[in-house]
Amino acid sequence: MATNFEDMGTYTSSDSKGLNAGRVTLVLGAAGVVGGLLGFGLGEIQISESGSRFFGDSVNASSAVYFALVLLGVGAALVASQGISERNAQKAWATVLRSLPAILVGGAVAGFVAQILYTEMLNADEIDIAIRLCNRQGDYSCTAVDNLVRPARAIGWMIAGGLSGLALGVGFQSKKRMQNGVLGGAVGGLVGGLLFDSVNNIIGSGSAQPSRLVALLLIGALMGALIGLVDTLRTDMWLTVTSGEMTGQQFIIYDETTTVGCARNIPITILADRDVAEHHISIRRTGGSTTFECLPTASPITVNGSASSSGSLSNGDIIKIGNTEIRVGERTSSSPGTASSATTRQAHVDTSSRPDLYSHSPESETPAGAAPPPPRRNQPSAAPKKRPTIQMKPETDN
Amino acid sequence: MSRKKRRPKKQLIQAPASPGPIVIADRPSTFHSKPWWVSNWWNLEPTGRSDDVTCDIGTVGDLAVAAATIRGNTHRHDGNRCEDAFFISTGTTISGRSFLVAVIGDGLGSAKHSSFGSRRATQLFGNHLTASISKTDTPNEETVNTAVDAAFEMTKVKASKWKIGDLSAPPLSPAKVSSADIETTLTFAVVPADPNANKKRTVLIGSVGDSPIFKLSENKWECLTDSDNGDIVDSATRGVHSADRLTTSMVSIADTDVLFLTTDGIGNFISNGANMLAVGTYLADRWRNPVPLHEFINDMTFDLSSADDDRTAIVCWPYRDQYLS
Amino acid sequence: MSATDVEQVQTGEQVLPFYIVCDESASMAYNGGIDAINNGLPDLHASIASDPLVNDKSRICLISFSDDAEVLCPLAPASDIDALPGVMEKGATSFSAAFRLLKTQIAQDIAMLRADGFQVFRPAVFFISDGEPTDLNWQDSHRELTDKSLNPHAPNIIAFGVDRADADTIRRVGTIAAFLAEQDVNPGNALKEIMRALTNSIVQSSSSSNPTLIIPPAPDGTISLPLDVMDET
Repeated sequence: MATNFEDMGTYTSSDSKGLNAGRVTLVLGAAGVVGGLLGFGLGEIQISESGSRFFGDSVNASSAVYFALVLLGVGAALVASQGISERNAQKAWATVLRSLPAILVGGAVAGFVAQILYTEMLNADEIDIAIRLCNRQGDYSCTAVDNLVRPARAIGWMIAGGLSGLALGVGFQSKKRMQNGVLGGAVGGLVGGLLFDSVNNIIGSGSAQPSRLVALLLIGALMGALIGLVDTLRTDMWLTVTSGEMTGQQFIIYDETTTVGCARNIPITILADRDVAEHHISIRRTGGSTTFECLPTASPITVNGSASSSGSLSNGDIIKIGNTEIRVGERTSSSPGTASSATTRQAHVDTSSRPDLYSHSPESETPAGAAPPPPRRNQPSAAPKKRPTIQMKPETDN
Repeated sequence: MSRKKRRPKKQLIQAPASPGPIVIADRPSTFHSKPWWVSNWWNLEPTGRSDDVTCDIGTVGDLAVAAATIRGNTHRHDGNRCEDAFFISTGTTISGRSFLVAVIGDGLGSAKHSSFGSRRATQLFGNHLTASISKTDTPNEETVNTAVDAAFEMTKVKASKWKIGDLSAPPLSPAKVSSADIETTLTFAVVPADPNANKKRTVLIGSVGDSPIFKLSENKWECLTDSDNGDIVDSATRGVHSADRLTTSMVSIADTDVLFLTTDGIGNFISNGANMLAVGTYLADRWRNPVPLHEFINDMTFDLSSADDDRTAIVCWPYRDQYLS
Repeated sequence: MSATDVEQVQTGEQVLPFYIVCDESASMAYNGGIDAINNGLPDLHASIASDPLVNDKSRICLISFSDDAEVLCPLAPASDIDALPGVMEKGATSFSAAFRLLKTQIAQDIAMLRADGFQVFRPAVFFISDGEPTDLNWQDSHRELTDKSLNPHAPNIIAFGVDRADADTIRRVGTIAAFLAEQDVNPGNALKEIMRALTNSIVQSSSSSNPTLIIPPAPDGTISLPLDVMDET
């Protein structure tokens, strides 16, 4: 479903002082929790004492409404979280509004379909037998019923999660986000659905409301976290800001073409730098190679200290847009199954080149015993250099 | 960066510690830091006539005139001939009045045969002007200006005509030498050689290029030709062959004044606007009165850092009788 | 002849100031530019200091620029210099910083020289860069430096470009000449020739009795860029 990672990229503040590796996941999970809370609140609109407030006669339609409302809350929270973190209210609202139709439609469809499946998978007679068994046994937890209901509910929420994730990708206009959303949302929904009944059993109150609340919080958290995880695992390229006010923040490059600038409505927004144009550069990834091009009216950037209006980018390059320095991170491919030292070193490079979405900058954490990573191509030395003193030749008599 | 030297307090002149010229304001040049026979910096012109020193001294009417050209350090260093020239001639009008024609030329550095050009132009102009004025009865501003214009035009035409083998001429036929290659400045003065009752005389002066004329009056040099006093010196200058006409004017010289024609090798160091520079102060003191020939040459060969151009001076002291004592 | 003390006597000595402005962006280290310039400085110094006329008349100032500009060696006669800070690779390529510093530094130097009684010829700037400027609106600073109606001390600029330098940019920087290294020439080698060419220019300009900036012929490995086809912006 919705996630802090937008087309532009996901970012997280990182610094060299020990950020938790799972921070991004937790942030997204937290956004999912908030979304779950919102979703619960919205979903309760549909629930009345007599059943469903809207389309009470049709269980499928009422489920559609319920899911649409719940996923509206979860989705909006996850979509808006990136804009909120950037302190960019305009971006937050814009992405929510853009995602809104997809979320609502997707949620409704998901609920409708999930209910049909739920109904088809569950046999009413078997449910009755299981309930009578539970009551006779005084099994409050009613394991028998759970065992019947759980798979259906899980599949239902899996579909809901997957379709909601798809809707989010549609909202961000990103094919890759759609893929990630489907995958993460489906897995999150599946897990959440599997745990849904357990939550109910654990809470064990007479009213379904508290358990519904907790379950939705859980589903929202799982969806957000898993979509974020999938985003991270499927990332090939990312940018890390290394100077200025956004130092430490990272952006994942999702799409074939990504615009970087100071405009609030583009994939990667560089803030607090007057020398960054609204649409400064366009980064293009095709066939494993990455190129950039300065957009019209934008000043050239520097790549490893050398000014350029266009060119290629690769892992470790430092680009400077305006006054903001950004390091390019790229996942390098390694041959599977080989065990040579070259591959080992390459694998190490792979590890060190993973996006630093969960921890410090890659170079600040070198696994113990591993060889230091090879120097980056075209990187100026980081150590402060002393200016050389040039001695003049002694004068000779003419 | 480390600096080796500090500039000590300046003195106007200083007797040389070793054989060498007078040093102005304690700012000697590197060129004269070694005697000429020791350094490798003082080279002869291979084809002869380096013209290190040329000097004319004499009188006409009540005028005492001293003129000299000194080869500059740049041409000594490069082994080139001096590119300055002077020409002084005298004449008498039909009515018997004597006069002096003083002409100075500074060959442009960009001209390949500038040494010949300055010598040729000054001689042609001086001779023709003298001849023209000599044919007049009582020269006035109009007649003298007419003579000047005619002399100027004739100079431009005849300067480009020579035969191969003529003294100091380029070893090429004139057809192969452009006027730019013999380009030179030209500065002149026509000075009546007779005293007037009012102890003043009217002098016609004129120039094309950057060779100035000064008048020493009350111990101060006054520039009688145009000068630029900006912060930046721009070195562009015109010459005889690229100019349409000379710029002329009539000036009044008192008997106590001294008239001084010079090229920029000295002229640039005389004054800066209203302020006299060290060389100007020195020469004003020295040339208040006529000086012996050897002292005149000694004065002309002063040493000052960056003053490395050829130097020419024609100095005219009117009413020489006042200097008898 | 006895010496006469004269307070505050001005001599009117002639001075031709030369400003060598070097790009210190990071890429200058990779193309051999830093080494070429640092290795060329002693030869430049020797050529000037050993010529009695050139040394008396010329003054050399070394300026470097990358993110900002810095005077490495203030204007001084070559013979007064025993050692000087060399160039080293730093960051970006701010032309504006270089031009702004030139404007203030030249004005200061001329004022000081004039106060000391020197006659100052129009300064000459040798501008060396290997890339495109990273700052917007460098043309404004350039105009403020070179437009004589805005800056009476406007210098003559000879621009040299190597490696990724853009021909049009280098042409706009130069006011009397501009040269660009040829594509297939190693930038470090081109810079060696450039250092040699500017040394010759300084020597020839200063050794003339009528100092005029002598524009060098195109250094080996470079081509001369025509300035008269420059587009006005």
